[in-house]
Amino acid sequence: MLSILFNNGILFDNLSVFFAATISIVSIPILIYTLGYIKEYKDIYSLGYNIALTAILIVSMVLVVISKDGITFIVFWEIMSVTSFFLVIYEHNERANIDSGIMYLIMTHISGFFLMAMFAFLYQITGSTDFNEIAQSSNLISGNDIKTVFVLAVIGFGAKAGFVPLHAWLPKAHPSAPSNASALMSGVMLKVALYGLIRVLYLFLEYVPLYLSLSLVTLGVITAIYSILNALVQKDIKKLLAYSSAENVGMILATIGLSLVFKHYGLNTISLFAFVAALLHILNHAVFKSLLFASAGSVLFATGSKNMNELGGLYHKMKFATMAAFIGTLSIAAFPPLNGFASEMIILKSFILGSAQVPESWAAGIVTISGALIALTGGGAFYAAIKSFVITYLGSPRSVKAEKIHETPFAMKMGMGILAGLCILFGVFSPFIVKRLIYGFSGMYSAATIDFSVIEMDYEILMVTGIMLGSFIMIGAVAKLDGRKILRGDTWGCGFINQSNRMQYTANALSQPQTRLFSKAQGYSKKVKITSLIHINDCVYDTFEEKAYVPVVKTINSISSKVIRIHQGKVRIYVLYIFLALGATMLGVYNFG
Amino acid sequence: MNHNLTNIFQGMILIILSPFFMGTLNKIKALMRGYKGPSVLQVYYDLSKLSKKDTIRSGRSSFVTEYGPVMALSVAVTCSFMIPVIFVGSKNSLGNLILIVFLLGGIKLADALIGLDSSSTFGGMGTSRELFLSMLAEPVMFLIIMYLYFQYGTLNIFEITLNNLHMSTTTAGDILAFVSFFIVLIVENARLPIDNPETHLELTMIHEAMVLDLSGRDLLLIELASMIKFAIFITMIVNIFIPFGISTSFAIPLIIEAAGLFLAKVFAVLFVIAMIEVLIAKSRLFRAPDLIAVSFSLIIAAISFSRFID
Repeated sequence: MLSILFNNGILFDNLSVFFAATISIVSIPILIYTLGYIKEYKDIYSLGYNIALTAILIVSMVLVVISKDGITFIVFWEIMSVTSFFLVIYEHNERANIDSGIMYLIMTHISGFFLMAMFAFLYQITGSTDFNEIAQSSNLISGNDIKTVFVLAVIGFGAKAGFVPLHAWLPKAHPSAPSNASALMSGVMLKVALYGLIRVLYLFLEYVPLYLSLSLVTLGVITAIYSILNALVQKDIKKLLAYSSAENVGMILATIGLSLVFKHYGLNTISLFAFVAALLHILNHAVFKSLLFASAGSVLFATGSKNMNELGGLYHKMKFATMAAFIGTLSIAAFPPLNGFASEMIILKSFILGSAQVPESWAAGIVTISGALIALTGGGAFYAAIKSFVITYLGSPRSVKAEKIHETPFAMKMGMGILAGLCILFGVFSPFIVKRLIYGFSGMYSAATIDFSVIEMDYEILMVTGIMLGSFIMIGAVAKLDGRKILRGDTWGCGFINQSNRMQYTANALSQPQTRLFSKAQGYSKKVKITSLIHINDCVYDTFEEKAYVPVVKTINSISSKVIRIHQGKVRIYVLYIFLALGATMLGVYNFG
Repeated sequence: MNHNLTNIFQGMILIILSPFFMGTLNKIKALMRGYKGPSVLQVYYDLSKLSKKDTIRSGRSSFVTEYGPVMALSVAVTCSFMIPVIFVGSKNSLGNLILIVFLLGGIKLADALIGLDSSSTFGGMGTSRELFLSMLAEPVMFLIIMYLYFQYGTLNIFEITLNNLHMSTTTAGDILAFVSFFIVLIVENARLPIDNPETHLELTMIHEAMVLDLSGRDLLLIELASMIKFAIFITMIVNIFIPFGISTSFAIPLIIEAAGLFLAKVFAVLFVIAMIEVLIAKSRLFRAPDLIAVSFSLIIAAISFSRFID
């Protein structure tokens, strides 16, 4: 396999190197984490299997992004898909994991099919599968061919990245996989799909028509808003994180679309800016989302539960994991100066710059509204992030599971610690990263059209970090040293003394207010029955899955239940089938030969 | 004088004055209702009383209750250094509006975490309501920033003030954006009709519910943080939309004039808030999205005026 790769050469342009670096930055801490995490499965499943597949997954992802040729790309892409499928069904004793694994396998094959079709189509036009040659002969792709390549790429990569409505596997497969694998899949594998999309849209196609770019923005915004609303009502911590990953992918997609819109109007400076915003968010999301999945994994390791309604009060027993999750939460809630803020700020800024500069009013209007919806998504992410942290780690234990805690191994802590450090580092020093990316990718545009002074980030965030840290230390010191006593008491219950832990707000309760507005989109239903007791029964489902996937599956099932009747189990009937098939083939040869 | 030093100096003034603003608001409300009311300095007395008390923390609480109030106050202090109060220089390295808005979100974040930290049911209630409202207010705030960018070509609040100062006309968009920002001010600072800061009734509480379990020093820090946040919002609305009279040089008479005008403008805004609080009853939580929708429509109209209708 490797010889094919080396015969065709390796791609070392900025895009490939950026993605290879992102994968490596996240994979190393996650590999360290894996060494501790797999102890959970000791005596139940094979540990070597987990480590081997994780390693193959990482290597295949790196090889996908440095492949120089369509064929090697597809081969490594499929290796990546298949290894991740085997990781999803790693805990195969549970039926639900097998089901979600099969769904993932089907979706990933849909993705693979469209990608193969796309590369075949590109080969037909340009006569080459080599990426550089396709890019050089991109002027051959024109008119309707652009639309075809665009649609094939968006469906092919979109099924893997989780664009609505092809997202339904995501909230199933990620919770099923072991946490080290879901950290990799959510943090990095989705980004590999975005890498492919970026390469096709920016380098293979000479231009993308305006309405297609705007549809990309719309698709991204729909994905973002739909996913974050669904994340809000989840009580399974990993499901919440999986939906939130889809939200971030939507945000990145909208920003990529925005960059293409600007490119169409010749606004190269802000097009580059939006492109860099998308790349920065790809890097930052990879870091903080794998951190959050890793800490969810350590909760699972320690308590055996990922249902937030059974957790709570973990801080008192898992201080390190809580601090790591706290940093991840601050980051995803876009609190300055952490890295989630850095990329969200430049994404919002590129929307503002865009709606000010796009010349046609109707397009600028779409950009404006999309920006507002992205801001709403940011608000939702703030809500969901706080929900997942507060219910899991703070308060008091809601069940026995959260009280009996297994100590987490050092390797897990180390992996999370590195990722948490990166969250801070990539946030505080984001101006330097942005600068590097802007100069690195300016080669994709003609140099004279870029005005670097407009888009270079100032170093304000560094100053603000300094001031904030200084005032935090000063206020903290004054508050500590004032000599007043700190007394310990019980939580005040307005005179009520028999407070039990079950009276706390649960995950469902915390997100109640917004279900009034959004329950249609969320697939959230609640039934309340009042007898002598109050019975509340709420359930969460994915609207798209209920409305679009289930009917398709039902149709296929009913067709196949009819087709199955040809299996009669009698030899003479099968011999008849052979004769019929032979006859049909001969007829075909006679007619077309 | 170094421009960063001046910013820190005027930020300090704002921090010191913020309880005074709150006291003035209470005094105006009392006078409108026809009773004498406590002194405008009462809030200072309350804070100093809190500083003399011991702190009781719930045994179930964690590092969030310990450091959350410190974080909230340090965020508030940092933000107050990033906005113009009575002086605006020509060169500024701080003041990015997006950064300010997200930093102020840090106070909300600390409050929300504290709400559930002591496993109090009231806290959970406050947190879920606060997060719900702030989620809806986020796009409005974003569109206001976008409008300001259209109008003044910058995201830096000092430059916005300066550019507005040199602009002779007030457009219809400015007025709409002002009203929209004013509604966001009410929503973000838990004032009537969204939240009633005067009561501790479980049906109405949002902000108070989250900090119900704090006492002594912790309560002092978090209360001061929310007062500074309130003062920051008032200062922002005053200096972004009606900046006339703000000083651009260090001449003493100009500074005094600017300070006098600033106080007058702040009192005017406080008067309007007090009038609303006296005249309007607290609305249901699920009516609050309607108010935010009004503010959203206003800012969309403002953007349409400035960007799409020439």
